Amino acid sequence: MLRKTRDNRLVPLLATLVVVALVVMQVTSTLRAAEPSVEPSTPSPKAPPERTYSRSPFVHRIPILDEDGTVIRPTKPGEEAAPNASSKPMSQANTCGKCHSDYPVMQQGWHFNFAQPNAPHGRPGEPWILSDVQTRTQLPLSYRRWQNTYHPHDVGINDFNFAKLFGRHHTGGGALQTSNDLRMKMSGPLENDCLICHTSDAGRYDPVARANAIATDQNFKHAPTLAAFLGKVQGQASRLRDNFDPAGPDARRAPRVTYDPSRFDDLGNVVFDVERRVSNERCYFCHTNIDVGRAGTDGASTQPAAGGNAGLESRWRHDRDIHLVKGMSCVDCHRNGPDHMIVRGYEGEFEARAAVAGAKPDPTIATLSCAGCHYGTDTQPGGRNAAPRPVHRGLPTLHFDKLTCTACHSGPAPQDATTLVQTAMAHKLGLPRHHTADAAAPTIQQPVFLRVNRRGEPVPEDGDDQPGKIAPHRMIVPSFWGRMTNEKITPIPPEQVVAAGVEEILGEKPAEKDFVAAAPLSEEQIAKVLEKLAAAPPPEIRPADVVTANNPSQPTTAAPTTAPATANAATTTASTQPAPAPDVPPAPPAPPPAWATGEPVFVSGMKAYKRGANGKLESFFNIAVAPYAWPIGHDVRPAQQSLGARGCVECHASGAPIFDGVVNTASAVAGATAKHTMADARMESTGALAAFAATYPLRWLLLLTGYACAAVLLVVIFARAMHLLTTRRWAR
Amino acid sequence: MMQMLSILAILLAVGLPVLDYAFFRPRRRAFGRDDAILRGVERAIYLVFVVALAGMVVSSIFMLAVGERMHRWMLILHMTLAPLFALCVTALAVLWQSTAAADDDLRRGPREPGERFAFCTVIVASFLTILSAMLGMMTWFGSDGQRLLLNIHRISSLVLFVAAAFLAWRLLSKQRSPAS
Repeated sequence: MLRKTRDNRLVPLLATLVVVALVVMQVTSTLRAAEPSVEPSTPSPKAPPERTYSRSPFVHRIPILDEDGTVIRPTKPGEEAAPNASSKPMSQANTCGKCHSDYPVMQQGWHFNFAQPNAPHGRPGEPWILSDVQTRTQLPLSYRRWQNTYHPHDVGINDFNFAKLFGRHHTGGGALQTSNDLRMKMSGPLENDCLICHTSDAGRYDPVARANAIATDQNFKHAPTLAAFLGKVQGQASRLRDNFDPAGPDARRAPRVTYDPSRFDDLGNVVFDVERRVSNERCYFCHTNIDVGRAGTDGASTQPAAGGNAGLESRWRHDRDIHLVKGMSCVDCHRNGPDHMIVRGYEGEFEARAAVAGAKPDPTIATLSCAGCHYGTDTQPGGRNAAPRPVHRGLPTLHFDKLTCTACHSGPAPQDATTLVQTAMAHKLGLPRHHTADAAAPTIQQPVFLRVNRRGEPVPEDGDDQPGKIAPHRMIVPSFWGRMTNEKITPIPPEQVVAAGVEEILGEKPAEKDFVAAAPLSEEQIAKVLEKLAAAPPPEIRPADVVTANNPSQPTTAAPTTAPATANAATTTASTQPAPAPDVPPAPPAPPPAWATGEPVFVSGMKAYKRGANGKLESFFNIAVAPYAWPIGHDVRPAQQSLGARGCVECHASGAPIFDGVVNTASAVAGATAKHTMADARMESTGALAAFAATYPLRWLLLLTGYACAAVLLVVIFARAMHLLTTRRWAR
Repeated sequence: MMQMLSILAILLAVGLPVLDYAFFRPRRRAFGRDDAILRGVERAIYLVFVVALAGMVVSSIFMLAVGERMHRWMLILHMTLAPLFALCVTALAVLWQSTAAADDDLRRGPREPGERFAFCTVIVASFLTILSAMLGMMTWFGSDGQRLLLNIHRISSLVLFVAAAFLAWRLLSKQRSPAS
């Protein structure tokens, strides 16, 4: 009774409270709506990128902006030079990014995300190769830390020096744009150069001028302006001292741009011939490969003649990729969205991208691989771009489980031994030269048939992991001087090797424009160099060569405010290094880099060498001797020129290139080059294969027997069936 | 899929003789002519046939059943035994045809329906197995055709295996007919 009474009193009370609360909320919201906003104004999100969404290209008649976002207007002939006339270079981050405001998104693309540890790095690709003929160095480098490559920072190459070495064939961006290395203050950032790919007027963009501006003048931020013929650049960042202050009295010595007024219209706009779909020729500047074969020899050797270039000159005989012959372009398959994650086109790419946390790759990219396009996938139809469905007459389907499409269709037709290949990235193809030998360093061999899984990792044939497939690869065997500590070998930068006073032993450095083969070293020479390295004092690292940690979030123009505290500090994790305050004790010097300590060794030809107890050279095995290989995708050969088109015995016979083709170790040590078969390279036994191949000459007998037996069986079955039908025994 | 089918085939190959032993053995009659369970030549051919078939089954169906592939030495074993198997099964078929015709003429039916059906199955499955393998080696068929041929080869060989196992059991356990 009591409870009932309390309930009766609580119900109207609660109802009243609810009504009051609702009224208060309504009044408050009404007042808020009526009042002007008093909240602090937050920056509105940047406008979406401008697009026309037309297949007709947009004419880019646009103003160009410098790094400060100021519109660049040149002084016209007859006009008095304005005191504030811009002499700064064009910034494509600002110029292009003004409308394409998804510029940061583009930084996720393959060409720019190389230094991002969380980016998908995919299967191994072509590395940057540090090549130095004098020291016989050829070292695969990659920020992506692909297995058997070296991170540039680990071998004493900071972002600035990396850009100086390889910016010639690099789009810029990424770490080369955000680095805090000391010399970046003088050179400026190497921004994404949109035009190097997207220009459609080859006559209005000179990549060679850009390459020279980067490698020789160190005018990183001026390079795109120069390449786009927007003006002349006076001054060289390379001549500026390490203590250069852009705001100081030396500022006048900094590089300056004198713009060409004829490139600007009356409104100060410049017309850029650009296109979304990049032309093949733009891709080729960095992605040209030329097979130099074994020209200049009698065909018996696996190496071309040291000084000859007959192989290079034979390029007129080479066919183009069949897809290009048929009228396709690179970007028909190697497509990308705004994020510039260009489809690489290998099986397993979708899984690799999906494995990255938070990534939601487009499933249709699976149809841009060879098989995906020509056959389709389980969920996606094939036949894109009218890709024909291959027939593969007479090829047992078992081969599709054991071979990639490229094994039979890509790269040069395999011979009894690998051939040499020169690439734009490794051999600076596209830049003027006085002489290039077929055997010019670095030594890259192709095709090397390795068994890899869908991630591009070498796997045994019967491994428990994903089943591997044989795929053709290009391969480089590393060669370098290094130091070993606890069995770990770290390469020494070539200039540090030379600094140990080994020039007399190793010979002179060849001229910049001469691309020659590296002469082999004798064991005596190697022992002497190792002795010199062992006796060399601790290396002095110039402030300009100090590796600073990259900070991608740093503004593009960020630069260290001061030089590093100690010259010996080769590696530091600080993004900037401010001068220590007087009352703060100086930080302890960073430990010397790995390449500066330890026992000197030489690595070449899949062997490592060190000085023995008696002073003689000893060879030993170390994981650092392992070669680096990356898959070949192009050029794709047509069906008639594919491996196996002329019969099974192209592979199933003694001496077949895919099993018995010779790979050599390309040693820089005289007489130490060893030869292995492809099967050895895959660490596979060939007993069963040889036995299987030996059965092929008798295959006609097998076929004859089989067909004869089948015919007799058919007759028996037919006779029995007829007998049953005629006697009608089946009805009983 | 193929692994499951292979395991099923092995189970059937073992299971059918067991069932036969349990239910039909008392009513079984002699196989072949009345004067012999098997003639000498026929017996030798049967023996080689069974051995060849066993080798081929081990190199293929057993490998698939345990999750392996038929490759390398197993493939070589398979292909080495293949002609032997083909010749034996053809010879047996010819013998069977002549025997069956004679039996029919005499209005005798020495074979039991199960054996007759099993033998017919062996012959038809062998024909399909051999022909699909031979056609697969020619350049007449593309990938789709090759896959079809491979599937025919696999399925027919599984059927062949089960039927041959049953038949071998019947022959090995055969007793002389009381009438003879």
